[in-house]
Amino acid sequence: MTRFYLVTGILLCALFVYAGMRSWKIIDPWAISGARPTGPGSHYHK
Amino acid sequence: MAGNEGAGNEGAGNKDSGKGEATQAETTDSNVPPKEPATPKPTAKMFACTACGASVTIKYPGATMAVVCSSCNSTIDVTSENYRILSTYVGRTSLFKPCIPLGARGKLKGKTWEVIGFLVREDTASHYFWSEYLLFNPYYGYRWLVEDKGHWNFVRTIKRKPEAKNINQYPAKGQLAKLNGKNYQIFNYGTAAVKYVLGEFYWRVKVGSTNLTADFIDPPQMLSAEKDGKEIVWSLAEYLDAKEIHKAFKVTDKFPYQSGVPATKPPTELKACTQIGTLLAIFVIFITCAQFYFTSIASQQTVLHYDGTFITNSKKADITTPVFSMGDKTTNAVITLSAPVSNSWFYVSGELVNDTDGTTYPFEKSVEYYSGTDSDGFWSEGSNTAQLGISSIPAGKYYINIDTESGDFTQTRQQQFSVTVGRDYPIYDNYWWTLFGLCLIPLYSFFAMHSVEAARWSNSDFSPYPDPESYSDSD
Repeated sequence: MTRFYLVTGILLCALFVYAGMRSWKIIDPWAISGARPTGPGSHYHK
Repeated sequence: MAGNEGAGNEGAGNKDSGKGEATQAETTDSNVPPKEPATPKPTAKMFACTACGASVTIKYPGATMAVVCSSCNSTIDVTSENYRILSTYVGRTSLFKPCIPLGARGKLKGKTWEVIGFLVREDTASHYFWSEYLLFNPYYGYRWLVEDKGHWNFVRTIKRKPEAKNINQYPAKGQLAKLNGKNYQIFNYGTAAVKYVLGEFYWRVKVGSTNLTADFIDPPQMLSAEKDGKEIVWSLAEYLDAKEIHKAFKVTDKFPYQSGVPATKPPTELKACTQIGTLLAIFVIFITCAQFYFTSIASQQTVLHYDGTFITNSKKADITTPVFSMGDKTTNAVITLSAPVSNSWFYVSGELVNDTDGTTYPFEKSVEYYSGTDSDGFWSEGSNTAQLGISSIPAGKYYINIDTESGDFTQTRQQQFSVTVGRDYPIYDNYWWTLFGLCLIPLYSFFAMHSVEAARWSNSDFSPYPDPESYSDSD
């Protein structure tokens, strides 16, 4: 179990650093993701 | 009383400390095991049992002081000229049967041992039974194999007297005995009586003889003291895998079923829990440092502040903000919406749009604030500002499209609102989620360790864990 935790912990820490560097939330159930085209009404879009 | 399982269960009482002692090589755990001498060839001696007349054989006449007649189970003192009867046993019984036959030879700890005696002892208070097998090697002396609920210990008497309080007095919880720099914690204290004997012994064993016993544990080892009269004999027991014994003595029958957690079970859960705890500390320090680093380099820059107007109880569409830059690296955006609402609400449906490729990030947010007074006084709920975050926004130029809507039950008037966009804010959610993830296995490990250790100590009157029965008593 110790070895399993060592591997899991390293992966979690790596994920934390990766997410921090990319300003990315690891868990974000209401995440807003980019899409195109969308948006309200008849807004200006290029 | 709480189980006295294993009370004095390491070696039979009143052992002659001279003959059963471990050699110096064993006690110092030398890496170079002494060479095993050739298999001993004992010179057997025979005589007629003074109780029943059956033929009794002594396999090791020089070392044996008492032998049990295999016919009538009387214990005979072989040092007396007329073979004095030490005790008689009422008939043979199938209740106690050695699972390693007398005379069986096996190699344990690198040495060959022969089973020459078998004892059943009980704790006089709880009437708890356990079995002891006397092993003999003419070059190394005596050892014991102790079987308790299917778990086995290899026991040897020791010359060096541990540092311990007077064992005549009932020990306090947590009392220690020290040996070779190791602390052994009191586990059991009581009186053990011999219930059944078979084979030959190096002391004058008698059915019914009793000893004061005290056991101290530091798993997988147990230090035991046995007192008979003025003599105190100390022995050191070590947990041994039943399979190893089964294989060593080539036993054909099954060994007793293993149940419970024995006092000397190797503390694998405790060791794993300690190691995992250390790893958790390292990981927490790492992510805390990383979080401080991310926080320190976060510029928390405001890239847009837009002020607009809205009329309450109406909709307004097609607001587009000026273009702003989100920097030159992927970052997050924090959009703050403010409006001076009072007993009213203001709602925004918007989208953050990449000015280059048109990628949109749609969002909705509302601010609402209500207040008043009632019998309890002033009350309020809501706020004039609301915030939302969008993570992983690629570098580039952006603008925001906004539709607004609002509601006011009291009046219709024009009001101001503002939208602020900030970039590169520190994210704390990741820290807490990672911390949560890192704690799951340590928590499981801790509860597993606690469960095993509580089960181990449930057989002791000196358990540091709360007695589960005490909870049910209070119900």
